[in-house]
Formats: sequence, C-alpha cells, structure tokens
Amino acid sequence: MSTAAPSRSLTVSVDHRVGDIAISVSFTAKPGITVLFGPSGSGKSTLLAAISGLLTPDSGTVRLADTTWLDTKSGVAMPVHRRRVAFVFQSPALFPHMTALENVMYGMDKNVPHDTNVERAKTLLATWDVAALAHRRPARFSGGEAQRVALARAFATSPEVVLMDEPFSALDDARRRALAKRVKDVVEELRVPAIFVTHSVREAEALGDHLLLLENGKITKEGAPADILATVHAE
Amino acid sequence: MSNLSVNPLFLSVDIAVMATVVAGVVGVAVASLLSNVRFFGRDALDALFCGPLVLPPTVLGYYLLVLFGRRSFIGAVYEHITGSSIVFTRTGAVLAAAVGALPLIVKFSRAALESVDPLLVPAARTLGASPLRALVTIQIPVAARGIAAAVTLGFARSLGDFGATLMLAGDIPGETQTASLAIFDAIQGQQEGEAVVMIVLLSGIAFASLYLANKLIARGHEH
Repeated sequence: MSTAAPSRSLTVSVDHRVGDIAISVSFTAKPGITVLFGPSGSGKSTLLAAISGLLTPDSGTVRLADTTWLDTKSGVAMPVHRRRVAFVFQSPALFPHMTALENVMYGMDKNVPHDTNVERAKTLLATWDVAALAHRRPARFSGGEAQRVALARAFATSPEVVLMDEPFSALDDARRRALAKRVKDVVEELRVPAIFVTHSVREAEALGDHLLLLENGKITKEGAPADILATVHAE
Repeated sequence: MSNLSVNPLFLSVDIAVMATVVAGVVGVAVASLLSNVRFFGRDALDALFCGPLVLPPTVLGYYLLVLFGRRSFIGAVYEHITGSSIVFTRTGAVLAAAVGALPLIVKFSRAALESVDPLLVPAARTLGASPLRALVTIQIPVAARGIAAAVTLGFARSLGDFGATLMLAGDIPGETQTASLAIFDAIQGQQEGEAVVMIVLLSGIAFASLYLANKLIARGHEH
C-alpha cells in the first residue's frame, strides 16, 4: 500500500439546508480516524457528500492543508474527481459489469504501466482477503466480500482523505470488528484524515481517535470517543 | 414479383439502419443529458425530442421541410457542401425516419440510464472519473440492455415511417420509395395481392424487433 503525504489536516466549515434540517458545522479532522456519530437524519451523509464534492453546500469552505477544495464565497469548487477522496458507501456500489480486479483498477493512475497496476490491484485484493475473487464479477459476492472489494477499490487511489458512510452496517458483528480493525490499520499507515460515519457505539469506540457528535445538523459534542459516548449514555 | 419487387423492402432496411445509427447516437446523447444534468429548459428539451411521438406525421413532415428544405439555412448549407438537396433524396428519408425514431430512443434510453444504481456514478466520480468518463465507462455499459432495447424499438419505428418520409423525401421508386410507401401505392392501385409480401415481411420484422426489445428489457431487469 502506498503512503500518502503525511500530516495534512482537513478543515471543514459547511452550512447547508436539506429538508427540515439546517446543517451548520465547523471542525478539523487530523490524520487518523474521526468518527462522525449521530442518529439517522442528523445530516452525516450530507456532510460527507459536501466534503467529497458530490454535493455543493449552500455556503462554506473545505480545505486540505493549504489546498482549497471548496470556498463558496470566492467561487472555488474543485470537482469530485480531482479531490483524491476514497469514499466507501453504505452499499459497496461495485461496478457490476467489471470483475473485482477491474473494479479495483478503475481509480488507479492510468500513467502507470498496466502490468504494475494489475499487480498492485492483486496485492490490494489480497490485503483485504478477497484475492480469490479477482476475476469474478460482483453479482454473487456476499455482503462482506463485496464490501472488502469496495475497500480495496477505494484505497487503490492513494487517497488524501478517506470518507466512510456506515460501510459495515449490513455486516454481522464479527465481520464488522475485523474490517474496522483493518481500516484503522490502513488509515494509520496512510496518515491521512479519515471520517467514519456510524451510529454504532461499539464501532465508534473501537475505531475513533476523535469523535464528533452530530445532532440535528450541529456538532453538539467533540472529543475522545469514550468520554462523549459515556455522556450520551448517561443522558 | 412484378413491379412491386422486394426492392422497397431492402431500401427500407437500408434507410432504417442508417436512421437508427443517427437516432441512436443523438438519442443516447440527449437521454444522457436529460438524465444527468439539471438545467433550465430540461423539460422543454424533453418535449421537443419526444414531440414526434404525438405530432401528426404530416405536421412533423412540414416542420422537417421548413427546417431542412432548400430554402432553409441547414438545407442551403447542406446543398452548398454536397451539391445535393436533402429534400426528395435518400438523405431526407433517413432524416425523416431518424426523427420518428428519436422519441422512443430518448424515452427508453433515459429510463434505462435512470434505473442504474444511483451510487455507481458517484462511486466512479470519487475514484477520479470525470462526468464523461463515468457516463461512458459505467452508466451506459450498465444500462446497455435497456439502451439496446430502445435502439431496437427505434429501428422498428424507423422501418415503418410513412408520413414524414413522404413529406420530406417523396415517393421516388428506387430512391425514396420505402416499403410503407410501396404498400400504400399498391393498395391505391388496387394491387393488394402484391403488397401482401411486404406486409407480411414488415410485420415479421416489426414483431421480431418488439420481441427482442422485450427480451432485452426483461434481461436488463434481472441484472
């Protein structure tokens, strides 16, 4: 796995109205996993979409270190495909007409020789324990297999930011824990900011270095996962 | 097979194939635009391309004459470049048949493109694909069966075009007299028996096209 440039923080300040919820958040995500925790409908997925560029918020800024991805005031809006974001969705969203290997290679640098990319894609699939699926199409993958291929595909782009929107919600506890540990290791190795959306307390405690509690579009608490979650339980 | 030979049928197939290619390229491009981009006038553009579905063929033919006739800008430019007019030529017949096929191709292709898992294109974008690359490498291939069904229906429609073809291309034997026009002429000339061959063949091709389109749509839903 290639290692990205170290220690680049992601600074987000976004205001956006979606339906009845007015999202208004400001935070900085340092390299490592920041857990975005909160109930359904609190604006977590919308916030990830705004950071990735899949959605343009009503106003705000998104910056990775000195690079401005979005600044609505000055009209800067870097397109999604230039942001180098690894986005893992709740559903694996694998391309059904491609094999697992082709899925993983889709986001790789086309200037790199094809054979090199093939070898790297195979290594990534092996890293996520799905090497045997390399030449098969996703139609008959199990939920866990598909999500592992999706993770291999997302990390194949050598991302500068990792965004994960409840990627393990369809998996059982054992698989969830195993994948969460693997994700934590990979993010630590890459040394990039990663935002992990979940509403599972266990997942939040196991994964996060830092936790943001999002309620009704606002960050109401921020800090160490164990501390925040303890207060949430107490309430 | 006397004066009503199978030649108009071959001509029909020839014109329908060319019209389907033209309408397929334009129709899929328009469907892609309509299904992916929100812009002012989108519904109006949709109505414009689907208009031939509801317009009387003679009205459609009239519009085509106004747009592509010798006194029109497009017609004049075309004639200046090629030395031949669009009206009363095979080009006119292709154009008329293509315009007739467009609504079916646009409507069905758009439906196929919009039925693609809504996360696939965003996933491709976050993997570094431009909007065009995401369309060409993900959305269109995944919707391929639905688009193929749309193009098949477009072919069937262009094969049977009558009114617009008559208005724009005329009824010139060996040049623009398609099977539909030849059948009309035969019936008018009380040579009904001789039209039967073409009626049977056209019906066969049309039903085979519909059957194929249904199969493609059904298999598209399975994937």
